[in-house]
Amino acid sequence: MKLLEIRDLVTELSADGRNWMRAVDGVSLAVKRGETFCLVGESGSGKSVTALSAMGLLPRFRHRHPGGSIRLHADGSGEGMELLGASDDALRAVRGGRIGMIFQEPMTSLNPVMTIGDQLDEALLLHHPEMPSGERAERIVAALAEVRMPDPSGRVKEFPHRLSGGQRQRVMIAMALICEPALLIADEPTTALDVTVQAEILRLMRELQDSRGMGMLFITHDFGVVAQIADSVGVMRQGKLVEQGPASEVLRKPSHDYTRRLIGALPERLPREARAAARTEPLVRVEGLKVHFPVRRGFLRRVVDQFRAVDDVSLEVGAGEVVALVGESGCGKTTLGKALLRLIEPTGGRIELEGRDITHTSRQDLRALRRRMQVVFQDPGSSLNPRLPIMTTLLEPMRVHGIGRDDEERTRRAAELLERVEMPTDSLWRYPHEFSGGQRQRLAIARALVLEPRFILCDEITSALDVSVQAGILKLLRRLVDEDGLGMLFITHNMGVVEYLADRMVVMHQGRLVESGRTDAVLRSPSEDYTRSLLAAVPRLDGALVAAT
Amino acid sequence: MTDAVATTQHPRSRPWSRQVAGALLRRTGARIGLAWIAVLVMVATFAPFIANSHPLYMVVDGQGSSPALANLEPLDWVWLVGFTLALGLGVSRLQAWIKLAAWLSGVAVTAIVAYGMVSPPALTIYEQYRELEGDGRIEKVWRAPIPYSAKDYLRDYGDTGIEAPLRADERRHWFGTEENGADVAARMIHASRIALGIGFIATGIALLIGTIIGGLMGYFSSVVDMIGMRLVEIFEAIPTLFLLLTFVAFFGRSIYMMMVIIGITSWSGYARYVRAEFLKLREQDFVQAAVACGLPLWSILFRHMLPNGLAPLLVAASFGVASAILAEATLSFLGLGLVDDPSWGQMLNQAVQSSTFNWWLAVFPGGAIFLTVFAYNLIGEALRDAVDPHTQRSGGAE
Repeated sequence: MKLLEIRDLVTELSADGRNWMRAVDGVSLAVKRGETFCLVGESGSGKSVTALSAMGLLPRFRHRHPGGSIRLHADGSGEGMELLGASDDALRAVRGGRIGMIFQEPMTSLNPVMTIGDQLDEALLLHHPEMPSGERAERIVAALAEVRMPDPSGRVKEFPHRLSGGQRQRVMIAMALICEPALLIADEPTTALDVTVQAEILRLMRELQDSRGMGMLFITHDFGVVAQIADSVGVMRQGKLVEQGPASEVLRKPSHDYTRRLIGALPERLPREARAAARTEPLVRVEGLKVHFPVRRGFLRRVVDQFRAVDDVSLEVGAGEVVALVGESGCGKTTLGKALLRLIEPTGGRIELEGRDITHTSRQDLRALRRRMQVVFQDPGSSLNPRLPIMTTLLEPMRVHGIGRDDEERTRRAAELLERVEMPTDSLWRYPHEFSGGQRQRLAIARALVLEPRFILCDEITSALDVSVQAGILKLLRRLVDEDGLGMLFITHNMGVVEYLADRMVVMHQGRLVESGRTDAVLRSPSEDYTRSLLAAVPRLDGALVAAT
Repeated sequence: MTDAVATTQHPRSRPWSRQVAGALLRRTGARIGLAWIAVLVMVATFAPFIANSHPLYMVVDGQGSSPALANLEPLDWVWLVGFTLALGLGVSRLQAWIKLAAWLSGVAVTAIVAYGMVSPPALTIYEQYRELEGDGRIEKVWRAPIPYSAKDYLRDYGDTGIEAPLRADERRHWFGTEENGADVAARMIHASRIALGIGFIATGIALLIGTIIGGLMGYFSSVVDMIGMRLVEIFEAIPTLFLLLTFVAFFGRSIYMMMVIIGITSWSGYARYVRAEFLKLREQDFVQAAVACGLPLWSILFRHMLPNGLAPLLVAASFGVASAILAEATLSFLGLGLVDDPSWGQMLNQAVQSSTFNWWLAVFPGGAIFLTVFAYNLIGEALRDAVDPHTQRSGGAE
């Protein structure tokens, strides 16, 4: 039985009211009662716009619908309700009442100055004004208990900042479900969460859906998540729905070329070449590294405690090998990386670069050593100076370190490097804002390579990218490591990436290394409990399919 | 650089400064504001040729001469050279900071040379030309559009004083005259220099101090930040107008002293802006990458961080110019401005001093102050929109 029926939906968006861009182009799909429909696609494919069209949440005067219809059959009558072009009052009654919605960012989707109880109460009051306040309070506690919030009656009075990301997402789910909607729209609800939290939230959503018989429109970019939660799948590309069907069919035997390419680009599916065993000469050695941040309190800012971000970590990266550093957010992996490069001063321990102790090298001497170790950061939006053309960004470090005789030679070197990272040479004269995320990460890699380093630290450099773009970057990195014999420490939370790229992996938890070893060995038979729970939480396409059959 | 690659340059490759300038010029408010400032700059630069009792060119007894040129003062030369330099550097293709440095040093050299070499007649007798004309000895004369100097009190006409516009016989004063008999329009034209100069120089000093202190605070944080913030608080506690009054009382009246005092008491706001921006930028990946590349500190601070934190500073500076102009006008209105030199605020003062209310002394200088402050506010407002990517994307449709 159909719950939400989208037929030939066309949505056009415009920034200025004159030039219209088609974001959704003739999408037809149906969400049935008690069924989860997953919309999958890369960024910009129009999957969120489709959901926002259904909710009528697109910015006023900035969108139009030249065609199509969205019908909601929530009340059981044959006709259903047309959502496109419905009045504001009608839409307001539908939103929250018949359709609940969960957004991606749990940190910002709750109002920080209201207690979570008040926020839930507001939603209830809006849709059930006749309900007495005592009953509302009971219902709120019940809703929080339903999403398995620990101590629900106590948490009602908490403000959002006291809750973790996972707990906030639970509150969001409670808020979306408190008026018992017939349909739940979830826009990447678990993307910002750690894998273990994500696994719990997905399980929770699945259970709630089963017990209530809701329909769910679930938007994601992660095929692992799709495999876990979807009954039907629609694959979107450039505003068009290229393929849809039952999840098991689409995922196992994709009929459309694009779907096949997307699934093939998953890092665990990438073909791996057999590699010779890595040479063992250690390039970077860390022994007992500690980074503690003092916790200061009171008027005189006295140090009352130490926050141990990195606590007694030892690891080694050899030439020509990739070591993956894996852990959940807040485990100290980025701090470890920065301390390794002496971007943060370590509290204790020893760092060696090519056999030389650099733990206490003065800043002046360190500047010359910077050539030997480079870094690429996570966020493609801020990894390049937006005010400088790429050429300046690439040439300045060379000039400072005296590489190349004059600017002409340096420009030639920069152009060669751009070719190596598969970017057109005319990028030199452009500014960062003209490039996509993946291209910017390639340029950031070129900036790191320009100084001919021996060691490169990559801090989650592909986590903000689409899978197909990520696949290209991963292949590039592996080639660079194999050809130049670089040492690389690759910080990530994505197990698929680890599997494809890394020779060895280390697992970090609360500032400490809990496990290390060769990648295949650790992935196949983890020896520590934490590693095991981490690996079990990773949503995997293959595992889910095997389990389903 | 190889030319072959350079010619394939992408058409969209515009540096940030150009984008902002483009976005700024698309806004009507900014256009109006900039147009008024441009008019003011032209008027201030060519003031001696617009309002002057000395004829631009005359032939007396068969001999041609240009009294206006001969009577140019050192300051006039500095303005003229500064204007030409700005025009020349504006069209050149040098880097922005080189242009700025070249202009500043050019103006400084001109000032030194001009004050050393140019010596107009110490005693200027404005009446002589009118006497010569009365005697019929002038064969040919080109006068400035307003044939009165700012300090020409028209003593030769005897009983002059406050006169309403176009009321005097045989003379034409478009904006009337003030209490000493000088032409209001001429005084306003010469006063535009003070308005422009005080705005730019005071704000320039404040920007310089604020950027350096704020930048150091933001980049180093911890102890430097603590000391810097206390310094900011101390300077914020100083009332500018009160300090100005005190200095005027002790050291006499000088426009340069005013500029410096307004400058060194108003940098704290800019320091706060720069500090906040730098604190934010310091954690940005590209700054960390610049550190990781081993770039020297000055490059990290001024090449990688400052241009990215410039946006709020530009906006604040254009409002700062407006408030500096107002501070000078307030001081002059209180009668503590310059003694003989014309200033808009001082003319406003005269409007209320005599027994009758002289509307032309209130309306014209008051209007000029209003328009100038308004123009800077318009520019600041438009600049804020132009540098803000959010308003840029959604603006323009309503």
